[in-house]
Amino acid sequence: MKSKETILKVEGLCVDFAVRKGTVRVLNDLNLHLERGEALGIVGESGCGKSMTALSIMRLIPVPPGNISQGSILLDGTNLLALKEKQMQDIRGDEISMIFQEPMTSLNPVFTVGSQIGENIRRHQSASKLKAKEKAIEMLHLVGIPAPQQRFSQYPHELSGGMRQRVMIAMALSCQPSILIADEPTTALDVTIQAQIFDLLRDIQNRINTAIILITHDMGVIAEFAKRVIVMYAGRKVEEGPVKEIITDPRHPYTRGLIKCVPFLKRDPGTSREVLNEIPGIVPDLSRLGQGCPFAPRCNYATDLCRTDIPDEKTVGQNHQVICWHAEEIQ
Amino acid sequence: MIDRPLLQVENLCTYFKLPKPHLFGKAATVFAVDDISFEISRGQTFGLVGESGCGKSTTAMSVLRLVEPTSGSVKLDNQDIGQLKADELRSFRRHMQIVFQDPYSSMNPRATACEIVEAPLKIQRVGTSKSRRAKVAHLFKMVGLRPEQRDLFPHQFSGGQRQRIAIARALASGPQFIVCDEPVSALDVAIQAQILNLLRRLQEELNLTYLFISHDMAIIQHMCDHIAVMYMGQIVETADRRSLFLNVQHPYTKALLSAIPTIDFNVKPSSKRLEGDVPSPMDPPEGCRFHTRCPMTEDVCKKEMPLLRAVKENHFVACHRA
Repeated sequence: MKSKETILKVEGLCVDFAVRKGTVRVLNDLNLHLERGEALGIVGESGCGKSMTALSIMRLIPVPPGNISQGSILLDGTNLLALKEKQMQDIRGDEISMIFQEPMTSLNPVFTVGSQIGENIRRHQSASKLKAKEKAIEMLHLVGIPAPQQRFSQYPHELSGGMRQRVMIAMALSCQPSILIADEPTTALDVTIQAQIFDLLRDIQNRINTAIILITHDMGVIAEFAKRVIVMYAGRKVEEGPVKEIITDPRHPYTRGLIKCVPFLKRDPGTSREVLNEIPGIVPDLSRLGQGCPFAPRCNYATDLCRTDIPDEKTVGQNHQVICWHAEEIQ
Repeated sequence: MIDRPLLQVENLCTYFKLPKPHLFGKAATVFAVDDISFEISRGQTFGLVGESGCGKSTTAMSVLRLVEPTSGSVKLDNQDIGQLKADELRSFRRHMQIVFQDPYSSMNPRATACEIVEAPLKIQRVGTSKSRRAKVAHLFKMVGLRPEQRDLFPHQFSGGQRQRIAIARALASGPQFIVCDEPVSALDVAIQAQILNLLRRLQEELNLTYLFISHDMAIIQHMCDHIAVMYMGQIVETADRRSLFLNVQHPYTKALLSAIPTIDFNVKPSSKRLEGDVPSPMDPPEGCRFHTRCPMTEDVCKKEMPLLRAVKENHFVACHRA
């Protein structure tokens, strides 16, 4: 049994963005924690705040228009929000790394992939150019790129999408960070390549004990990769718990809807045609949220209480929390 | 009673010649669609599935003659589309329409929703402006748009609603056959369900025939009666829905299925992964095009291209080893 040590703790995080008509709260009172070596998933639709969470932790929110207005982000006890930009630069790429959805736009097209990986190593480990090259080739080898010596001096456009994402991973892991944030890392890739990338992430997680925060809209990906999951809706957490329990026994109506509205592959599809469950309506405009629970307008269980008051967090199982007034009714 | 299929595609090939790299260089050819044949019966949905670059969208474009095929024939309701002259083709297009993946880039941003849906009727010179308006109102209702939304512009709609406009536009000329090219890939999961259900409902109400293209095997399984799996411009396996999933034959189909993440905890994740990437379509491998990534490759796979053969009724596979 591995010891459980919390390395990241986010408390009461609120992020606002200035828009023409005032401000919009894109993250609202978010709490989360991450243990060493853990695989945490964050799932939700576009605009639910999952990428904002990642960018806040990295302190990559553009200020202005953005503003982290409340809360704290503790990395091993240090509040990242209190750090100066210079100190934050020491942490980014060293303690916490991030990989993005589209590897082509996150790699610099005019530098070789080797020099881009080496840059990170030289920045954080004050290694010599030669040392950095050795380490970069070692990283390319680690992420399963064939002929790393040759690949080192190639440019991003010479690589396929899957290879580019491997390069991104090599770069992100080159300083053995304790946290890796992966924001939709495989959304732009084909399924067979996606499977390769997740195998790689799993393997590396075991080898260097990096905690991974996986951000995705795909519950299937969560089920395959994460152990614990946070479901987000309209800038708030709505449910959190062990992946298996959330998928087999979701207690928030939104989580239920999210799982049921997606067709899942069956071994025997039968001959009948089924109708998918729908979540009625669309995600709300964050600038026009009412008082109460943000999901209330689309929820079948909503009562007057839901429309006026934000629900409290309830514990419904071991490490399983749900933010809903009617969690007990939903079985 | 044997119904003649609504759509018959025979030996369809679409090659793209690339420009010469330099004056004396040799022009490369991309074998986007290479000798594929299939049929779709009236009222059915035929699915094309495969990874990016496998030729599924080019197949759709060639079927509609939005891209000129290199050879082969496409017949819709026994009319050979390849034989039609330009003006005949335009008028014939009322019978075959398409819904694209990204509803935003496939719409004129300066036209209102009403104008977008009306456009095909105008082009086909159907009815008077008054009767067209009535038709548009009817289409709006059919796809679940509100009448007061008719004068809004595309950017004022959400992605799901834009896709509803695209579907209304495709239905406007009263087609029998609609190509759905990744119609839900750009949408959020909760909205996907709404659009898939809408497509299904319309199919039943109007007896539509769909050619449904997706990279997502679960959506294909949900939507289609017949399925063809494509790899590098060719169909490697095709069968009716039940037979395909109960009785997977081709190693590529197997690999595709095992790579899909599932929420079913009873299914053990397969440890076998396809290695490497898809080879360049400009220089397809000799023999079976899948042999460079196939776990079952033998000598014969490297030399001879396998042809589709029946393994069961309505189940065909192109593999030496299956």
